[in-house]
Amino acid sequence: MAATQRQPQGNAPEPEAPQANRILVALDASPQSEAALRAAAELAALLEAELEGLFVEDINLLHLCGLPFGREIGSYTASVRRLDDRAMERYLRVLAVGIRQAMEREAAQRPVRWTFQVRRGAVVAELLAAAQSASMLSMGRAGQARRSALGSTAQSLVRQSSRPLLILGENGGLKHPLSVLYTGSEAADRALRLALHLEQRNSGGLTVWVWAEESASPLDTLHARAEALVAQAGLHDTASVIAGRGLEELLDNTDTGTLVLPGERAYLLSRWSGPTLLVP
Amino acid sequence: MASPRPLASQALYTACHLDHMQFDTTDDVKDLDHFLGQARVLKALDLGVSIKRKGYNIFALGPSGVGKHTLARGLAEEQAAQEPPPSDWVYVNNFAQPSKPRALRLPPGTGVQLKQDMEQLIEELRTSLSAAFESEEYQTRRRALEAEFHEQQQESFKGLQEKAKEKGLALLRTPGGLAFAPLREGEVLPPEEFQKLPQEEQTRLEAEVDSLQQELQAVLLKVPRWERDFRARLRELQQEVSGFVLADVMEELYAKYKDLANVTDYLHAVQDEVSQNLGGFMEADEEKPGADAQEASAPVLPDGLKVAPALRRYLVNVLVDASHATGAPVLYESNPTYLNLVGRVEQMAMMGALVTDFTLIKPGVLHQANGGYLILDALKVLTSPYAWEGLKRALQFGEIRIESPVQMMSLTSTVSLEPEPIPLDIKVILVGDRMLYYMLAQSDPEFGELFKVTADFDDEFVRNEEVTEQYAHLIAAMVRKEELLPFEKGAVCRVIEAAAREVEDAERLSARMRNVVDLMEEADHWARETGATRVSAQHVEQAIEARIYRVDRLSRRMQEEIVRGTILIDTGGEAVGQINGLSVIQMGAYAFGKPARITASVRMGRGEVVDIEREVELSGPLHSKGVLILSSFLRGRYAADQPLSLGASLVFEQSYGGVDGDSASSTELYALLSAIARVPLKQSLAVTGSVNQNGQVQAIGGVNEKIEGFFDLCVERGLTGEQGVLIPASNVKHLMLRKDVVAAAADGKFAVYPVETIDQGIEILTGIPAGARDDEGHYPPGTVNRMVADRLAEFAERRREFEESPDDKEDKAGKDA
Repeated sequence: MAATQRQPQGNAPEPEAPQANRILVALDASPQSEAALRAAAELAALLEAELEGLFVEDINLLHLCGLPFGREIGSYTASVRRLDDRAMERYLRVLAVGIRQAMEREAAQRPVRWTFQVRRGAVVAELLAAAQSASMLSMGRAGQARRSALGSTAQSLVRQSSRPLLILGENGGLKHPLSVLYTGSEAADRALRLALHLEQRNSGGLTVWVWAEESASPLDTLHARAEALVAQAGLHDTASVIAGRGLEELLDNTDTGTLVLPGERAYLLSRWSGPTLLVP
Repeated sequence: MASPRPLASQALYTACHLDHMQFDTTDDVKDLDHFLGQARVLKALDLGVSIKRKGYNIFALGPSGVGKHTLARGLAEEQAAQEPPPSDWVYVNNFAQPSKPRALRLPPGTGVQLKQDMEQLIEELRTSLSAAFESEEYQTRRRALEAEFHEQQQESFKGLQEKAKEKGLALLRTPGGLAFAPLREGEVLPPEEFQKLPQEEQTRLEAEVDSLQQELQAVLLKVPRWERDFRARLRELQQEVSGFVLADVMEELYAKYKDLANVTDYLHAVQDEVSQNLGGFMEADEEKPGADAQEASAPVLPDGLKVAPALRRYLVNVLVDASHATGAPVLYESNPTYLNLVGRVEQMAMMGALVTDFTLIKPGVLHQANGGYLILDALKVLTSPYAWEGLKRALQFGEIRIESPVQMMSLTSTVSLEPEPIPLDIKVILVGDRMLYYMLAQSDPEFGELFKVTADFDDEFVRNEEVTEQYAHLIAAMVRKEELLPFEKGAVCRVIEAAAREVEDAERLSARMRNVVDLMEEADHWARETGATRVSAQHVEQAIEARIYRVDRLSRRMQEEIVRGTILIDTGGEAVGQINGLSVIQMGAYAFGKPARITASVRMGRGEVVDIEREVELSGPLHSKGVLILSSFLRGRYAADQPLSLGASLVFEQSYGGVDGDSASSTELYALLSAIARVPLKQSLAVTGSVNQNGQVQAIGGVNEKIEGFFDLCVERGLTGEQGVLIPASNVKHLMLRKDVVAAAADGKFAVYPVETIDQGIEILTGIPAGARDDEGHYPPGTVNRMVADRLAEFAERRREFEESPDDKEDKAGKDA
């Protein structure tokens, strides 16, 4: 993928050729989303891309306020409170202001062009729509709840996004080295290319784990292809290609870096909570 | 009565010969193997150091330089060597009350061991515990617990979620919690849509939501309990794992210290504490890189502070380490401030606040000398604020309680440490001068209870053959100790003579060895100056002369003024009512004699002798007393049966600074007798001596200086052979005169007359017999006493006449003077 191409900025989405050099980051004021913002900003600086922040005001919450039984139960005190739509609007506005400030702070540290917008609607749908015009989407693993499991929004996007997805936990960032799982699928090719491109820009170290199980091609072929792609990127001196090891070992060895996965291996996200770049 | 002859020159100076000792230089003389003299002190100190009872502390008193320190220390060390070494003392944390650290008494050498063992234990526990908590077993069991907890939650929520889904409802996350809402196509039903629903449907939904909300509430209420439960089980698991590690690691320590109940107790407390505070070890491990950085930036941090704060409580603060002691300690503290005596709790500035803990307790010298002997300078203790109070309190209660002076005075009540007091078993030897001792004894009621042994040092020894010999041995020892050139026999003799002169007594020797050593060092200097290899008597003489020369500026000036006639003193001729007295002026350590003219004038009066010095308050009480005695003598001897009708005035001429002492009373009496009898006195003589009511001449001080003072003046004017000094016969034993005086006396150029009575003196001064009463009570004609008696009788007669015709009284009395 030629992410370095410069495209004139425009809002006309091109579903077939979405090459706008723009990184979308989903923001919801959670620590995870702040990590996603940080990583996206780094990446945008690295790829000379534009950073686009998006906060979706969840229409479900607003609907809930309008219902006669719109009440919330305090997650800690278990007390029942009436939800008020004016209060909810105010709450969302305050969130948006905070998020915007966070973005300003983050962007000010790097030479990055950025925009920020607030949309109202169903969160997943809005994110998918916005991602259509972006080259990559960055988001937190989960929303408000501080847990490592993948949140529902992230799960939906993993299933439905056609764009590379950068997923980060609470204290995450775009960490190096990169470890790419190469399975020979088309998505794996794309993932490896993207990783190689990032490595060309950054040189933080790159390891390719060739994994042939469940694959149609034999391990040797896959290995050779991975080597070829690495050589093509001119990184045969620095990047290493490892073959014939198990997935467990990959997860153990990626301890401090970022895992790059092809889309079909998204299930690994339940076993790996570090920064992940999922390429469909 | 025969008037006394001048003293023979031998009587003026008692030389030292050491004939009975065969030696060339001090190299041939052995050291003195015992302490010279001071038998009383030796007895007192012996008792003091060997008696083991409360309050038997020692006060060694005496002038400086007599060897109080040396002797006290020597005896204490001798005794201490036979006593067992002291205990080790350590402070450890009091886990129950951290502000009151515990003191542990340990056998010598064990303190340091325990400290090392505890440091090792911390290190061991750190690695073992972190290994244990990283172990597969612990991690798996912990994860299982966590999973159980999470599952418990998840399942309850999942159950609710599914139940809701069945009813077309969804569980939503709201800003402050959770809520249920009807779903349509994955979205919450908008309110308008809801309104459009049939009434029954709306009611149903509301009811459903209500019931689900209640269920959710019930679940949420359980969560904190689950969480508590989870933490308790996690703690149990940690206890189990750490308990195993702890028991294993500490077993060795228990075995090592099984005989020491206090250490075993402490180790049990440590074990309990560690298992309660596992967090400390985990944090310490994590902080390690940070701690390194801190260490680099603050290299002066005490050892204790380099350990992570959570682990510092397991350290051991060794206060007293007796591992190298062979006997009881004997210490001298040169700066006995309160804090140096009782110890202190130091504080560290940390992040802008002052903090402290038991590792910052610092021992005082009382701790160090506990179980042994402590020598202190009384003056230094008394002049350091609170030191005396602190010392007394420690001795009185038999324990060392570390408190800051501010705490002691109850001036503040900030939180600080109260270390457990340590029992004190110590013998304090205070060293000071006599005045301090008497002052304390009088004004401090506790002093007598705490310092029951008095070691009173003599400042002089009797000078006999045996002591002189020992003195020579002592000098030889000093020569070696101070690394001086060897002293020749003559030099040793000269030093001993100087020691006699120092105490102004031919039959005594100075015990103030420091001055003797000073003289020897100076003699050594002069010997080396001339390239000599041994010190001769000449060098000692030179040292003495140089010493005098350095300080005699004032005496020279005075003598010059006499020679120049500014101060009027005659050294020849005769005069009525005028005599040369002798005074001594003390300038620091140096004293010199100065002649003074004393004059008397008489007239008829009512028997009062006016001491002009006293009238103007230039005379001290002793001087006034002397004058009153001599007027009483006059009354007793000459006016027993008639009124003493005399008016007399006595003056110390050209004295501007005040006079005290009664050593001039005989002199004044001679002047008075001369004035009454109108008999001239020889001005070539000077007189000293006090007189009693019976006319006996009594001993005075400074006799050597007085004689030398007048001698110097006579030499300056030229010796005539007539000149001399009258001294009390009882002062002859004090004579240690300068060589030149002795030589002049031997040549008959200067005389020293020992006088016992006023009559002897007046004969020498006037050349006229004094005269003794005959059987009828009359003095023979032509004697001084007769002339005095006649004149006084004349005064009495005339006074009677006056009193009969009182009108003329004033007028006529004025004429007579």
